Amino acid sequence: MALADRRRINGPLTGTTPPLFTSTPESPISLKSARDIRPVFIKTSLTPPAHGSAYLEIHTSTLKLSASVYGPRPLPPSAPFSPHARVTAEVKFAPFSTPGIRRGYVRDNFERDLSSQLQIALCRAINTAKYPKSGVDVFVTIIDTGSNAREVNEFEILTAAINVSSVAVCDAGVEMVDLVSAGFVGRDAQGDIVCDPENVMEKMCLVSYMAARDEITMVWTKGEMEGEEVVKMTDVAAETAGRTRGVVSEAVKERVWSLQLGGKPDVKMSG
Amino acid sequence: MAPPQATNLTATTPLSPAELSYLRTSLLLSPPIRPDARSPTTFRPLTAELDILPSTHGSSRIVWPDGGECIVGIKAEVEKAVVDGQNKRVEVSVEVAGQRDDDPLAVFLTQSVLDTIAPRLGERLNIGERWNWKVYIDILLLTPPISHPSTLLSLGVNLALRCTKLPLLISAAEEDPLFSDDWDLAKPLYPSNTPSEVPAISLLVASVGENVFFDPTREEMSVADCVLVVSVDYDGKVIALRTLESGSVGEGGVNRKVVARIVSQCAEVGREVFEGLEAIAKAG
Repeated sequence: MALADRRRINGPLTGTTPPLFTSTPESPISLKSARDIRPVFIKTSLTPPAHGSAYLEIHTSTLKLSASVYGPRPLPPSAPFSPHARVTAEVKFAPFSTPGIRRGYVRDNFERDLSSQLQIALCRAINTAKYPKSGVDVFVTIIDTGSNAREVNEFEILTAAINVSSVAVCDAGVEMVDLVSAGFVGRDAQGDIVCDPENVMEKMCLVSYMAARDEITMVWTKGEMEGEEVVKMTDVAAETAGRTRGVVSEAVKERVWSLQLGGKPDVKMSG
Repeated sequence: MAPPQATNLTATTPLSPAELSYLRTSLLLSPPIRPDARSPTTFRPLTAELDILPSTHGSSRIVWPDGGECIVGIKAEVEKAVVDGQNKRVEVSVEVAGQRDDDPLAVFLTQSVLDTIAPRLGERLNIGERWNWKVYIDILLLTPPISHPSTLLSLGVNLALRCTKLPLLISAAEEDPLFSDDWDLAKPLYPSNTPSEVPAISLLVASVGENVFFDPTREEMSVADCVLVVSVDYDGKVIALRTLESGSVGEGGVNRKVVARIVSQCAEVGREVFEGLEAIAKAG
């Protein structure tokens, strides 16, 4: 016994079987059906200093955004004369918004790209001719990007940003030709169109849509597609946007009711 | 909080409201009348040169008649392959003369070029099993653009990629790469016998009412209802679609039918542009 090797931990003499784990799916399994969209929660006027503001959450996702709108306010004296309101938009990720690595505070190209797309989506919906020499500035802060996804879904974020800022612009009392709502669809591996997909897909399409006028203010697609496929996806995305429109209208209506009944804005969190 | 910077695309045109209204009315006619008497699908004439920079793997210079000029230089480096790294094999940088490098236009153009060519180009850059090429596409816009430079850039990149040559690999696939130092043996990235595999191009399309215009000038863009950048490949497939800011004359978006018409026209117009590029590439 004195010769037994006590310096090393020896394995069992009989041998063992290595543990076998079931493979985790690439992305979380989606429980919703392809045509469903996730419920959206929007509340207005939660940022008192801003002229208009709104906050958005998506059910089953942790995506949280807040938008604040300053304007219409006069342009600085140094700005050249503009017969129309100048609409600017800025999308900003909070440093703590992403799962894992902290996001830097300096604006990067991804944020700039989303900002310019948001500006395009909103610009044509605002009655800019009513506000000469003024600016309408929209700031969207992404508080949480939704951590159940492994990669940041830019389509989901931009969709939410358009919806929330549309409500915020309306809340600021800026005249619009129609409320904008956005919807996005993806095409899964089987070739079926999925409305409001929870995972990033290879082919995706986002449409920002004015349902009452049946007009599109912005289209954005990704992935290689035939012409007819693009048209089909745009149609379904517009239809998805039309369904979100109900929530957008309701958020605006709620605000109008509270103003009429109470005479002052209701900033209590409910729902 | 300081208001965000206005994009230079929002810069107003020098036209007065009356002139803009005149322009819009003439574009709404059926058939429409464009200020430079082009048909809706005609592009402006352009001048192109290939392989102008000796220190690059491929380069091109392309000039619009309105003074827009862009130079594209492509350089390649060998790097160790990483898993899932196909999308990182192409790096694009756009410099617009006289503007900050975080200008929204430069950001947009970079992203647009990358979206258009990167997915397919990445697959061509394998060297053996463990190495791959990394391609840097550097684009210089020499004049501040008078019209939107998206098409100009994408045609320039297409031509530069077509004349890009990479040194001939003489080692086996599993070895560390060794290349032939005879530049005459270098292999073209896009061999000329496979015209259908050339990189995709972006077309700028504007819609005014029911009419659709290709290659719009800045004035036409400022009266358009919607401006789209559609990237198409040789087979007419849509690679990417983006909306650009259109002018502030008039509100509201576009009908879905107009978007459908733009997409369907892009395939055939794209084919004509590809044929034109083919002729330029052959003439060298």
